[in-house]
Amino acid sequence: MYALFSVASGLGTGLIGFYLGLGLVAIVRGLTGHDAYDEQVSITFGYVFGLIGWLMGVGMWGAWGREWFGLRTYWRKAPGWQRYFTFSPDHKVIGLQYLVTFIIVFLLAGLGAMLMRWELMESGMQLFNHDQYNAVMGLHGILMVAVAVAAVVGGLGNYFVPLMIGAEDMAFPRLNALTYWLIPPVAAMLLSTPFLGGIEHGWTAYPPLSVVTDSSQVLFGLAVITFGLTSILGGLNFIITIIYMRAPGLTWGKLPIFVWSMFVTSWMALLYTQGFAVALLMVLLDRIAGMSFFNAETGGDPLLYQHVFWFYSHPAVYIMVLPGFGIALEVISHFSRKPLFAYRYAVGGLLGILGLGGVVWAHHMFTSGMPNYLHGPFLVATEAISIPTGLVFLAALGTIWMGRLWLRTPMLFGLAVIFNFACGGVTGIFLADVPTDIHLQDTYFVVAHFHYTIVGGEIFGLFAGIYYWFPKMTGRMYNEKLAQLHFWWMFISFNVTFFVMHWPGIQGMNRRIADYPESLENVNLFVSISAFLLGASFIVFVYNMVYSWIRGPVAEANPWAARTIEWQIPSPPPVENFPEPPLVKGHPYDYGVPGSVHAVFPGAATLPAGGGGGQ
Amino acid sequence: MGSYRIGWIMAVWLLVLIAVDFSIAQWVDHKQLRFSLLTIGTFAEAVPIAYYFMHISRVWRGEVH
Amino acid sequence: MAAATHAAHAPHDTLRIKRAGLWLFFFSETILFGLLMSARFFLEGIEREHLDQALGVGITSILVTSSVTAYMAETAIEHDRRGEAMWWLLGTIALGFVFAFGVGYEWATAEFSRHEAFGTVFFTMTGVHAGHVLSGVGLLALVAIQLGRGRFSSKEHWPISGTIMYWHFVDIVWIFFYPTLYLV
Repeated sequence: MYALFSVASGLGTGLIGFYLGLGLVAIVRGLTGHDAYDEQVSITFGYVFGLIGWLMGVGMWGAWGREWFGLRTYWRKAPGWQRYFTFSPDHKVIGLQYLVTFIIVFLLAGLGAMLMRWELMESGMQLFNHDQYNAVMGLHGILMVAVAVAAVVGGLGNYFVPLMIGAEDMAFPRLNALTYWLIPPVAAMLLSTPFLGGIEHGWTAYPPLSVVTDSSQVLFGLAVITFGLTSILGGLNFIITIIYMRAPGLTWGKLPIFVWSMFVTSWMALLYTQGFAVALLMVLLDRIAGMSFFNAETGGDPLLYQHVFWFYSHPAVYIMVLPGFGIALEVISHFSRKPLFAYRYAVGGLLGILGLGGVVWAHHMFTSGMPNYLHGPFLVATEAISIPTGLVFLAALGTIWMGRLWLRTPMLFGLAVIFNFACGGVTGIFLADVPTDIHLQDTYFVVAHFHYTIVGGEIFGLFAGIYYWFPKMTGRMYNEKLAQLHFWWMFISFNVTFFVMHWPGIQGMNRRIADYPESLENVNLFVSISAFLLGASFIVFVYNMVYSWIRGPVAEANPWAARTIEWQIPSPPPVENFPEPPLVKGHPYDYGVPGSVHAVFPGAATLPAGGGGGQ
Repeated sequence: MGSYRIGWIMAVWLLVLIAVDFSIAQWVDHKQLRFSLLTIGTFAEAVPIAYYFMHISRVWRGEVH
Repeated sequence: MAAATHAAHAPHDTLRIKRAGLWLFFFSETILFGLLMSARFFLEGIEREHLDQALGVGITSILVTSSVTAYMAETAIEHDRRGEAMWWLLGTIALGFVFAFGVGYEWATAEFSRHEAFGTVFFTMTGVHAGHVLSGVGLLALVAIQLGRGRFSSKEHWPISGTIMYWHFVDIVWIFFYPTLYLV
């Protein structure tokens, strides 16, 4: 059993590393006259050494580490499904590893939301006490943020960017494998936070609470810093891949829009993720080294945390939502059987979001007590970012206009992205304006707003991508009827839940608080019931995916008659992707343009890619 | 050997600039002026290191020896 | 890397790809150090604290000199002079250790504690930087060992070049940190 061996040796060396770290701390502390064991310090060093041990044991030592010492490297070759449990350099394996892991994390985090809604059905405390509620709320938040940041980028991006640009793999395959294998420890750390007291501070971890709360905060900080490392290295890999590995003839103006969105997202991840990591490093130092970044008594300033944190966490919403836009535009063009409208403007819009995304962070801080003269500039910059976003919408609507829409499930999800994000964008204006934001700050209006943008914009995009590429990834076809059932069920219950949620927000119901006034009971009961319905819709999804992957009918290579390169090769693609690198001739979305060809495969007996574009 | 000569010239340049920065810090009392001068001095050290030592131009020009 | 498994493809310019990747990594690290620097200015403004100025200028000169010796090592290996490259590398490692020792001495004799604001930023910035210096020393030692075993030539010396680029980068970071902490 290669799979068992691989994971077990990773766990073994990880444990050895963990105890090595504990031992080192004990020795140093013993020599300097302290107690040998301090929960926070010991966990920190144990984690760092354990993480290195885990990576080395799971296969990085053989594939990479040996090279640093001038030894010959080797890969563990595993047959069939077992390769998904090894340190594999194949971007297709890594993409599926990411995708399946994050679907599981998504379902677990969704379960957390269900528990919260259960507690919120009635005013007063029923299921939890306040601490337990905070722990569940924080865990739901950070796990969902992780899903939103990495599920599309790591899963679909890894799988399809190299295929769509005609490359045989990512630029740094070993780095790619490293970024995935950092994820399981992160998930394990986050899921074990309830056993050390739970993260009371939500996913934002504002000091001073995060400095004085339980030791589980240390687990949280270390896990998120590791996750940031994954995000940065993944972004680096995508940027280099897209710049240097494109097939001959694939100029920037012919790049599929999904690849463009991944390119912009990767720059965001590379530029800003350090913010979250540095912010949590500061919290960690305040906690374990007694420093005073955030202690106002000794010259620190808690506002510093908010600035550094939001320097990442606002751009993070674009890291989450831009891949969703990319998938939506991609799918809308293929299923409208029309060239993507205003392609250049859409790319310009994505780049504009990249440029503006870094100068709007303080709109999260209008009520934080920062200097008043900052309010105006951040208000204006925030409103200005709707201009490039509008260009993306222009491209989507112009493509649908007069198109012959083919309403299969991926298209439905793609259209839902546009609808939901428009709702989220409109409510965003109220939160960007200082006067209304001061009233709405930290209420359920904010919760409804960001669920509309992130779930509506990105998670719907994720499902569009999963359904669209399912035949390519598995070689089998999903059940269309169940998929459409999933779509309508999810779309309607999602909209009912979060549309109604604006109302208690306007009434002043605080987010993150386990209790609320009795006058809001009816509306909360309604929201809870529709949230349970939303949660139940994923049962259909999971059943459809699992059953179709094992028993579904074998899919054709190109069931959507799409023109992009990834559909011109067998499903699932062979290990080397292309026998010969494809030669790109024309634009990827020229549906119905006479005589246009996207890519040809010299030396192979295949027809020119996109030959069926006329239908 | 041209490459070696660049190394020696850079060594002199960097050490001189460190001395200049140090003197600015000792003798300029106006805070904003000191800050600006030090910023200029710092970039005057960092940019040549990136160009001559780290060969940043090879990123877009390719490998030339 | 991938080239072994995917022999059918024309090889990409792997050296160029690695170089660009390393630069992006530096770019990303720059933001990390930049945020720490911003934290210093956010908490303290452009006020100067009392520090051992002679020690500061001393260790800065040492680190900058080590950058010069590292450059010499790279130039030597580009001209296939292995023995000479080895001596320059060992010199760089030695200077790196002296620098780290200097930072340690500064820590031991500092007049402020880590429990106050300037101490917080000073120990954090120098600590994160010293961690990078020590990892750079470790990498230099690894390539020096392989150089001693007869690897690397003017044709194939990317591990040396990459490590030395990293060393220069750490040096540039200190060139910014030094005035930020000592001079401003």
